[in-house]
Amino acid sequence: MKTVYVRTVLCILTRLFLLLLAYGEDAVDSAKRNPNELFTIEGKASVPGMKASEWIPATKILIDGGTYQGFLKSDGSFQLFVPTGSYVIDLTHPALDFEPQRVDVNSKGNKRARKLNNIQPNAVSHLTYPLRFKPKGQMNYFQKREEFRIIDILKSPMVIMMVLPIVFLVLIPKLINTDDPEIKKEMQSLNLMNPKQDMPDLSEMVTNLFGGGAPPQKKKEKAVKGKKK
Amino acid sequence: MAASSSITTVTLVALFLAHFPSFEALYEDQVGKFDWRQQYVGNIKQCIIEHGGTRRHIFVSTDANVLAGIHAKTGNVAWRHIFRQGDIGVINALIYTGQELVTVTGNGFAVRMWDPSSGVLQWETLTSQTTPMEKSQTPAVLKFNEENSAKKPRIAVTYAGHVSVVNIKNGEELWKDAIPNSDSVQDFLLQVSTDEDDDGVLVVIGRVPGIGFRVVRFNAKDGSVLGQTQIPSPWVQEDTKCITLSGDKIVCADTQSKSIRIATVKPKQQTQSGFISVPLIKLQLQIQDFRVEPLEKFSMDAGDHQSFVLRLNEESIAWVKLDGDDIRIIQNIPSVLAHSFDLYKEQYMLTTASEDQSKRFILLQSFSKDGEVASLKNRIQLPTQSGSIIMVSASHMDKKDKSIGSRVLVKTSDEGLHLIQQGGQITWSREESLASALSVEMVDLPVSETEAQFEDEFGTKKGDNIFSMFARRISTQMSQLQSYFVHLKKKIESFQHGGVVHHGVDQLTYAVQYESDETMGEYLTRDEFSLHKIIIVATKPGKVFGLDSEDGAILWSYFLPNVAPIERGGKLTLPLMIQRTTAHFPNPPQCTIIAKSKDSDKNVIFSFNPINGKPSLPEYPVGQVLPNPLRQATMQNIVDLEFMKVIVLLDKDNKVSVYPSTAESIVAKNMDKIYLFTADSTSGALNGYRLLPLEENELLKGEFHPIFSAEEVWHVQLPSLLQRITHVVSKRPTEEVHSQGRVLGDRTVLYKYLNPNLVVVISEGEDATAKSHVTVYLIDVVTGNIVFQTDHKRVEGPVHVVHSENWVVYHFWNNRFRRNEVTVLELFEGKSQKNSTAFSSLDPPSAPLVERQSYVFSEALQAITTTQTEKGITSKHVLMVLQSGGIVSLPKRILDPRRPLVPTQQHKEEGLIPYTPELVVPQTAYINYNQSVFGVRSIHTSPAGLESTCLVLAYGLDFYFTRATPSNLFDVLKEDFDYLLIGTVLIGLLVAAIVTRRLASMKALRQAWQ
Repeated sequence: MKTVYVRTVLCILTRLFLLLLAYGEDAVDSAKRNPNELFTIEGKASVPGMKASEWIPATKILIDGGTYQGFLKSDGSFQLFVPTGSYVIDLTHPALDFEPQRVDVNSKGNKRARKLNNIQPNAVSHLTYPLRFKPKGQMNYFQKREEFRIIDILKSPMVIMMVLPIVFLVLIPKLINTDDPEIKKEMQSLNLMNPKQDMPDLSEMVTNLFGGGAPPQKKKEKAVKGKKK
Repeated sequence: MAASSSITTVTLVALFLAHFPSFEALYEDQVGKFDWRQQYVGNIKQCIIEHGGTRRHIFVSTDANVLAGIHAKTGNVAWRHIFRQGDIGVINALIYTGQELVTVTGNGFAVRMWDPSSGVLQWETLTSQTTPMEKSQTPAVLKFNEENSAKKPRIAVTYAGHVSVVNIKNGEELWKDAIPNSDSVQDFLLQVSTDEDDDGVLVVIGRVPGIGFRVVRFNAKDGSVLGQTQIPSPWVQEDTKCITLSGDKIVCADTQSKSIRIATVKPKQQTQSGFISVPLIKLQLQIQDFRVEPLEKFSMDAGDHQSFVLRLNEESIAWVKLDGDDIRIIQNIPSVLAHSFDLYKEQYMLTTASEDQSKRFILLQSFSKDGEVASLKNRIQLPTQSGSIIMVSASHMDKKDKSIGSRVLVKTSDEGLHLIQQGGQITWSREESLASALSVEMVDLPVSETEAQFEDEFGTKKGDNIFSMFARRISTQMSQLQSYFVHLKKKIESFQHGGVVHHGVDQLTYAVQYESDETMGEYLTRDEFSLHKIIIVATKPGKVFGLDSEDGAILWSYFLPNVAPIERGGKLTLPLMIQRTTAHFPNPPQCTIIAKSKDSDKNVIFSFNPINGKPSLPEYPVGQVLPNPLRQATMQNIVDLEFMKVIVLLDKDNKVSVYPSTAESIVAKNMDKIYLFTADSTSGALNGYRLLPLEENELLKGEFHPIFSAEEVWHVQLPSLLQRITHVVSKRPTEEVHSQGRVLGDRTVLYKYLNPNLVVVISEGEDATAKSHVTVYLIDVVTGNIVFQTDHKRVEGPVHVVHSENWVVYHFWNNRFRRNEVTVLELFEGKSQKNSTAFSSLDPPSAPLVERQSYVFSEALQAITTTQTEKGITSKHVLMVLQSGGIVSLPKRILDPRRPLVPTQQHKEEGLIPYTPELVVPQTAYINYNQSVFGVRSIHTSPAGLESTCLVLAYGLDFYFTRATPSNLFDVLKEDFDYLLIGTVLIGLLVAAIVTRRLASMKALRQAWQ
């Protein structure tokens, strides 16, 4: 209590001093004023496209996060009673997004509204007074579920895994005219259809190692078989 | 070249994505799936049953400074306004005229009128143009009609030595006048009289103890003072109850001489006659302590009735009437616990409530002037665990068949509210004690009986041989199979009936309606991921609840009428501890509450089974009273032979006892590991203690006898002249920390400073220049070492703080920049760890590195906490309950003091987000979507069996329960997992493989023939 008293006295003294410096005459008038005097901040909120009974009961007014309190009337207007100071006034509604505003009330009861700037609290960008509140939009609390789209399915690795081999299997042989004997020859030389031919067979390697029988013959046989095909 | 550059861009994008913090968010179709909200109003102070208009509502004003309209049919909150905490928001009067609902708040500071059906403000008038005083007297409030016309309703209110008269229709202040000689007046009475002119007279009567009454008469129309007089009455005491009655009467209850004193305020005569005394013996009423009560609060009795109520003692009343200077008894009703009056066809009806002998039934009776109305007599059984009746409010109306009907609202001492319709049916009940919940814990449900047997199989008993174990296994598996078939059968049946099997709890009435224990026992078994729990709530009036975490229904409740919460530094606490969880079958789980006894300084300890709410010790149904008042009770992480955690009780004489007392020897064995500490918020003293065994001669026999003494090992004195300790926050003892350190960009590890004994102490106050000031201390409570300390100048509370792992986050109001800020402190041991297996406060590592950062946060908070998961692998989120009603889940990563101003490659590799001064909360971070919560006292988190999931309960006036998944559901398949797609792809691949194989063989055959 005592410290509060000291603080208010100090506050009044500094204010008085400043006012004496600045105005001289006004100081007398201002000294008569009670520092705890309440001033009225007026404002109005409106939500286009919604009935008043739909949003007003759920809307609350927060002044500095709840240090003072105010209530909306049925037409959306409100009156707040505060002593001199600077206040952040915010409207909250579960589904609507209002933008907070800062209101400064000086010791003579003059009010001005500013855009709230938390990073540079002293920056001034004026707003209309009496206050006007309009929602920026609806609150969007939800993440969107991924919708079913063909492109998404096609992009999925599993589908690519399934589709690409088919493309290779079906389309590429069609692109190349296999009936052309030259290409046939080329393909056979490329061993596209039978890539394993040049690969050394594991069983052959083993037999090579231990037996050293007749692998070249076998190879020939195989090659002949391949040609027969 | 091109390929390699595209790869780098891909990795860069991936890195960027990884660096962007993930906010958990809900999908719209998840609404209400695992979350629920309940709205409460608090302990009812005054209630009015709507009789005009649509008769749909019940208007209540409560101790929690709440004004609400409750649906009379369902008991749900139709609308609600929460006024500010403290004297400024206190609702002194609630008046309903039939069209208008008027409140007087702040001890007469503000008068407001509300639309009864929607609760929207119609007008608001302040009776004073200056900020309210800290202490002001209770106002006198009177509703009257000017010129006796119902079209001109007025309300008169006294505030700070003034009386104001306001037009109820439009809120216009008709006049305001100072009351002459109003100092030394204890309280005021108001009265109107019409006998003078047409204007009417408002009489303000000031009661001055020891002297008498000062009477000032105002013209009710314009406020001009018509006259002043005094009624000397030296018998008036500080607590003398007086009322005013029509016909200028003042009636007082003089308890000293056991008489009723009556005076008439004479209008014009200069000499005021004194009080006439009517001894109660003359009325043949035997009383010790009595009161007088008016029929109607805040308005004069209708039509010169001149009757009032004499409450003779706690259990009987008399309805009496002034008869000239004498008193006549209209009704003398013994055994009445609560009563109310209401007007029915211009006649007063008295409704009384009493209990019968067995205290199981209550009796409601209605009396008119002529006698009891027999058709309205009702015998009702209130739910068990309700306590006794303390308030009743009734409304009589015409039924459809023109006979008289009634609606009665009963409030019980557990702060429960029950609406009783005629016929003795309880339409609904509200457990308003939940609005004052002080502690909350979540308890796992027990495993089902067969599963418990299954665990039993591996031989808990000695002498089990392999065959008997095998036989037991077969039998349990058979019974499991059997129960599965039963379950299946039920499911099919319910499917045929076309409905979901609900466990039979009617949500709206919040009432317990279980059909049998059997179905409940089956319902209350643990699910696969232990997501379904019981929420234990301990409330201020001493009622304990078990809530179902699925839908918030009350599973059980237990009322301890003998306890009150413990008050520490202006805060109420009711410690609730889980001594044994459900994991120790066959030992039953046990929770313990420590409270203060209502009628002494001593403490009460009460243990119960959290699953069914039955006391663990049936021989102590309301707990045991401890012999000495306690200073502290802490649960230690030491278990006795039956897996019961031990509670150590430190009493006023620094003697220590142990609960349960069977664990004394175990505590004695671990004595050197137990350290206690206390903090005194007013003196700023912190003390640490260790345990020493008591000398033989000091040992006393009996339960709860001390076996140790606490010896002070350290003492820290914080500055206390201008500051007070407001928070002492330790880490959660059950917290799991998965990672010991953080990997930096250069692949070295920065080890966390994980001191389990670290406590955050916050003191708020002013510095020497009268500027507000907050100091934060981090103190090791084993050694008293102040690990870290920081000051915030020109900063104001209320501070909200959360302490977990190696970090502290706190939120405060910065006075200088007039904005809210959040500061994070993070402690690191350094690049090497002193002891990687355990932390010892007695051999501590060198002073930790403290990283800190502050952010601008645009919102004010109601509460703050952090998520908690089973093993601590999931990344942490900080949960903040905003004043605007949202619950926001912020990743700890964006509250990271290592966030760089200028990010380098190493920072990027570490995964740090560049510093931004303002924390912006995306709308998808609101985990309670549009289910706003207000009046939240605290928020509690508890791990589920699933590592990714944390159960969250915000409690206070609103209860909101949901699941938080900070790292999304990484350990279960997504809800929208596309089984169809993966199935079709698999089948498609299979078909394609077969088809292509056939095609290939055909082709090979064709080629072979060519």
